[in-house]
Amino acid sequence: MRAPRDVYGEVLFELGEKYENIIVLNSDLAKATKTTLFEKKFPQRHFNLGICEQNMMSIGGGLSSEGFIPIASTFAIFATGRAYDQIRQSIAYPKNNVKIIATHPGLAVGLDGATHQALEDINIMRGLPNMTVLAPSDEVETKKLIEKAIEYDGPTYIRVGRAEIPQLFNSNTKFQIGKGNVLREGSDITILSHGIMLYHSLEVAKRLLQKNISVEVISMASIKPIDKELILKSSKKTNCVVTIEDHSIYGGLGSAVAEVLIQKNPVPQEIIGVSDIFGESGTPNELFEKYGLDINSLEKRILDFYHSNKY
Amino acid sequence: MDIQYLENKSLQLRNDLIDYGYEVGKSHMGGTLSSIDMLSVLYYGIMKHSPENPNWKYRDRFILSKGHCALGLYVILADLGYFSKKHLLEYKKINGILQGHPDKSKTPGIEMSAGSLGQGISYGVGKALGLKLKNINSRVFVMVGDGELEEGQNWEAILSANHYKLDNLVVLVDHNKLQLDNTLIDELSFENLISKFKSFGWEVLHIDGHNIKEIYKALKFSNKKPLAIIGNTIKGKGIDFMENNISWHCNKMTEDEYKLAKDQLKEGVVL
Repeated sequence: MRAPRDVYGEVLFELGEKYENIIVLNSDLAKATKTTLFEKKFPQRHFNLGICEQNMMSIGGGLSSEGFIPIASTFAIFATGRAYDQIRQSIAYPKNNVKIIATHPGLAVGLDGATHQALEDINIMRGLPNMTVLAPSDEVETKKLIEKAIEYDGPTYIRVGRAEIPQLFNSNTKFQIGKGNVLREGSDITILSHGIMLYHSLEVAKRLLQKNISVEVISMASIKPIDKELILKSSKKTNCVVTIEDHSIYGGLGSAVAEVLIQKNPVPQEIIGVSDIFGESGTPNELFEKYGLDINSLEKRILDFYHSNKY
Repeated sequence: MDIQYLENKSLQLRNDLIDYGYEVGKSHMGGTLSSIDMLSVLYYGIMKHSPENPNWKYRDRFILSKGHCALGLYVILADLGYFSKKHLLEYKKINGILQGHPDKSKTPGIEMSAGSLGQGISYGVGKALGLKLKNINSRVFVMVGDGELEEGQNWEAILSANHYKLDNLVVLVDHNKLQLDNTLIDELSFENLISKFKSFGWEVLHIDGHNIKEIYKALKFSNKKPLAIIGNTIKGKGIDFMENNISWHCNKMTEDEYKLAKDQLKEGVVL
C-alpha cells in the first residue's frame, strides 16, 4: 500500500539526477505534494514560489522557453481551476514543455471538503489543444508514466492520487503515453478506469467472477491521447463497457471513452463517477460510499447495467 | 548611440504603423502609438539580437505582454528583417504568420504568445531565472500596459522577481492612462505606481515615454535590482485626433483620417 504522491516525490528525485534541466516549481505545497526530497538534493533547481499558482504556471512557461523542463506542482484543483488561463496561454498554446503534476484529486482527498476536491480537472485539461492528460493509479504506473512524461516533449497534465492504494502492476509492465494496459482479461464486461478506482474495479471484477461474469479490467491512465484501438478491441469482445473514475461524470474518462465508442462501435456504456455535484468533508471511504464509488455500490450498479443490457 | 538616428527611426516606424494600420483595417492604434518610441529605442539602440538567428542563445529577450499592440512590434521585426514586410499585410488574416496577438510558434522573433493580459512579467521571471541558471548574461525586457497592471498576477510576479534578485529583468510600463472602456482607475495614478514598484523592492525610473534621449538613458541604467521604467505616454501619440481619445483603442481609419494622419507625421505638427 503506497500513496502515488509519495512515489512521485521519489521518482522526481531520481529524474533530477538523470535530467539536469528539470526545474521543480511549487506554490507552498512542497510538503503536501512531496517535492521536498528534490528540494533537499537540488536546492538550486527547486523554487517554492509561495501561494501563487497563476504566477507559477507562467514562470513555468518562461523557463520552458529557455530549454528547461519545469515541473509545476500543486493540488489538482488549484492547478487546473485557479491557473487555467495561465496553463492555456503560457503553456498549452505555445506548446511549452511544462509538466503539471497535480496531487489531491477527487473525493479521495476526503476531509478537506469540496474546495479541495478536484472533480473536474480532467475535463478542464482535456479540452486544451496540445495538452496530454495522464491519470496513473498505483506506484508502478505513477513512476513509469512520470518517466514517460519527462521523456515526451510537450505540455502534460499528470493527476497523481493522494490516497494509498495497493500495488496493481508488476515492475515489468510496459507503459506508454496513448496506450492502456489490460490488467485482467475477460469476455462479458469491459471496465476502464484510472487512479484509485482502478483498484475498486479489480475488486469488483473478482466478485463478479464468482457470479460467472467475466470482466476485462483496463487501466486507461492515458486519457488524452486515448487508446482507441484497445477500447475498440475490448468492446468488440464484450459489447458492454463501464467506466469508473473518481471524477465528474462530465468530461472525464467516461466522456473520452464514449466519444470513441459512439463513433466507432456504439455499444452500451455505463459512465460511473461523481454525478453533477460538489463533494463534502468525510473520510474517503465514507465519501465513496455516499457517492456510490465503494466496491459494494459499484458491484450492484454494474450488475444492474449488465443484466439490463445483456439479457 | 546617435539619438537623432533613433528619433528618425521612431518617426519612420510611426509612418509604417499608420500605413499598415490603414491597409489592414481595425487595429489597436492608440496603445501602439503610445508604446512605439520605447519599443524602437529597445530594438534599435539597446537589445542584443539577431534577425538572421532569432533564437540566438545570447540575445536579449523581449516580451510584449500588452499583446494587443502587436502591430507595432511586427512593424519593427519586419523592418529589421525577421520576416518580409509583405507579411505585414497578412496581419490578422487567415493562414498568415502574424496573428492578432503575438504567437511564438508562428512568428520569428516573438518570445511569448501573449494577449491574455497579466502573464508577461511572470513569463519574464521564468526567462530571467532560466538565464541565471544557464549563466547567460542577457536581459529580459517586458512591456506592460498600465491598465494591464490591474491584473493581480502581475503583483505576484513583481514580488517574485525581487525575491529572486532578478537584476536581468526590466519592465517597461506604457503609462498612457487610458484603457479600453475608460480612463485608468484612480488607484493606479502615476505616483502610486512608482511607490508600488518600490515597495515591492524594485528600482524605478520614471521618464517621458516619448523622449528618445530619456528612454535611451533609462534603458542604459545599470540596475542592481529588477528595474521598472515607467514611461509617461500619450495614447495615440503623434496623431492629434487619436491622442487621448478612447475610441482609438481599437479602430479603423477612413481615407480622410489616414491622409490627415500622414500629413501630421510629415509636418511633425504633433510629434
